[in-house]
Amino acid sequence: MIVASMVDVVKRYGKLQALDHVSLSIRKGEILGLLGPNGAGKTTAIRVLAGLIGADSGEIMLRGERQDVNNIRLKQHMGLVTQEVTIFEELTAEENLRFFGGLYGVKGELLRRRVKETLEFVGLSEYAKKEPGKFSGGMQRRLNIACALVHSPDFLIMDEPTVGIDPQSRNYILESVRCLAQNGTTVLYTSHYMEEVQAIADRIVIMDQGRVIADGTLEELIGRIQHEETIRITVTNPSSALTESFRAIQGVKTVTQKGADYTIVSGASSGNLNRVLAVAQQSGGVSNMAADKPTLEDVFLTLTGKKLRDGEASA
Amino acid sequence: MTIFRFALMRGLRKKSMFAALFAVPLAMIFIRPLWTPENGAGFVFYGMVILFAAFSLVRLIMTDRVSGTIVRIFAAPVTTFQYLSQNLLAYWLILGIQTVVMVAVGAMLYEWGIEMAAQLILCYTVFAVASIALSLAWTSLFRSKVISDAVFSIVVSFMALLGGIFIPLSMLPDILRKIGMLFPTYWFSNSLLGIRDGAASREYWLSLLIMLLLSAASLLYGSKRRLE
Ligand SMILES: Nc1ncnc2c1ncn2[C@@H]1O[C@H](COP(=O)(O)OP(=O)(O)O)[C@@H](O)[C@H]1O
Ligand SMILES: [Mg+2]
Repeated sequence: MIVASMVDVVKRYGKLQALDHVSLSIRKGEILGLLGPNGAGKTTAIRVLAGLIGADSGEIMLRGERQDVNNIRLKQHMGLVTQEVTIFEELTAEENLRFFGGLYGVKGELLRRRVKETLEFVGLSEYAKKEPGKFSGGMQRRLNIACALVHSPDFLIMDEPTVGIDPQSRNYILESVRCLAQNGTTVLYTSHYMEEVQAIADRIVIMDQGRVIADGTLEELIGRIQHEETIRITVTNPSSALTESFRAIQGVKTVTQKGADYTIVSGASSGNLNRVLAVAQQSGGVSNMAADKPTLEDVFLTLTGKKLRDGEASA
Repeated sequence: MTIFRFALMRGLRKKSMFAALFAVPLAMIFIRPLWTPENGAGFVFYGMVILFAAFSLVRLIMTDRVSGTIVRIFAAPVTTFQYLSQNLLAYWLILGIQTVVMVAVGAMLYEWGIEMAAQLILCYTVFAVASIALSLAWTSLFRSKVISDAVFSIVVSFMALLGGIFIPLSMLPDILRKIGMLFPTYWFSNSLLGIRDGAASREYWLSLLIMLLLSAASLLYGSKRRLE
């Protein structure tokens, strides 16, 4: 079942086309990873989807209804974790949650219980009565997430929820997202960190310069690209003759040697792993061997001709 | 009513607000020379206190916008009208309570009659509406709080000058008086003159009406800005 979808959505800021005919859909109960470098249009896509800004053209559907800036009702079931930490510094953690819960009409005993549960969920129970101005970056991020969860949304949109925090808090957050998804919450998870998206998403949409350039599961995406194979091998008897033998294998592009360690790059789907192993064994033996698996980074590189991190630098 | 409740809470909690809302006005009211009927500088000065208190309250809305919290508020089922009206009403209530306390203390200390007290309260609360509306329009022009604050203090000084806060309106050159008429401060001090002439004059009611019209215009203008 489709929870939300965008079809051919265009959004311009003046001359800049921030969304260029974007189409994507989110299925019930999945974690959809939206990956793209800074400036790709992820936040804009989210804002249009959440009905915060209008699109210039295209159709946005949520729960079978047309999304629109004035459609207040659709917002009831949605939670938005903003890219910036958007909490009130002069209110305590608990008051922040009470405020955002209250906006969704949660009140009384239910509000009290949800505030308590949500603080526990993000590990901030001890800090309920503290003002977030003094929190660490990771704690503020967790409160930022909690504020979108008090009203138990069934569709959660997270816009780069882990930017600029320590690995421990990041793992905590990723674990929480998995836990939410297991309990039936549909999650749209946006990030420019491919490792995160790779680790957490059931399905992935890759955006660049306002366009969706690929979507599918991790396996589908990787299967789609023609990828170079990189083999790292450590031999017992390194020699220049062996280097030459590696070079002679069909499809091998480069061979670099560093002591007993060789790095051998072959063209796409050359299936050279076994051949390399055979050659190495003939000349004495192998003490270690590994083949690099292609990653989302490679997918992005193949599709756009640039690295994800280049996009980051130019944003 | 969540927004209204939290607007009250945030408004009263800020420490800088405490001075503008309680310390300064209460210190003022006990300075007898400020409140003599002939030289009633206190009456107009208190208007400036209201204006600055209104500005620092409305700054909370600007803070929401600049910090991006507004994005999250509008991601919830909340309309622009609900957001603005509940915030502004809370600010107005805070200023209104302050005014009532001030005038009540003043009435006891200086034997203002009940009629004068009522006219003062009405005049100050209408000016509070105008101050809130003006501050909203003002802050909607800026992206940076620092610049907004700095330019506001300068502009308010001019408004105060043209509005007869430092110099009586009757002593201003005609051309400056005419410019002053564009701002609520002018009509505010004009309405105070209307009170001190005895029973509320036509001037008084007219001034209140013009303040309300200026407020409506500022509110319309200031409520257009939504995100960012
Ligand atoms: N309010 C705005 N006005 C003008 N340009 C904007 C605005 N918001 C975003 N942009 C531009 O739109 C493009 C996409 O931005 P954004 O959606 O924030 O990307 P991402 O979230 O993927 O980093 C960027 O080039 C950005 O500069
Ligand atoms: Mg973004």
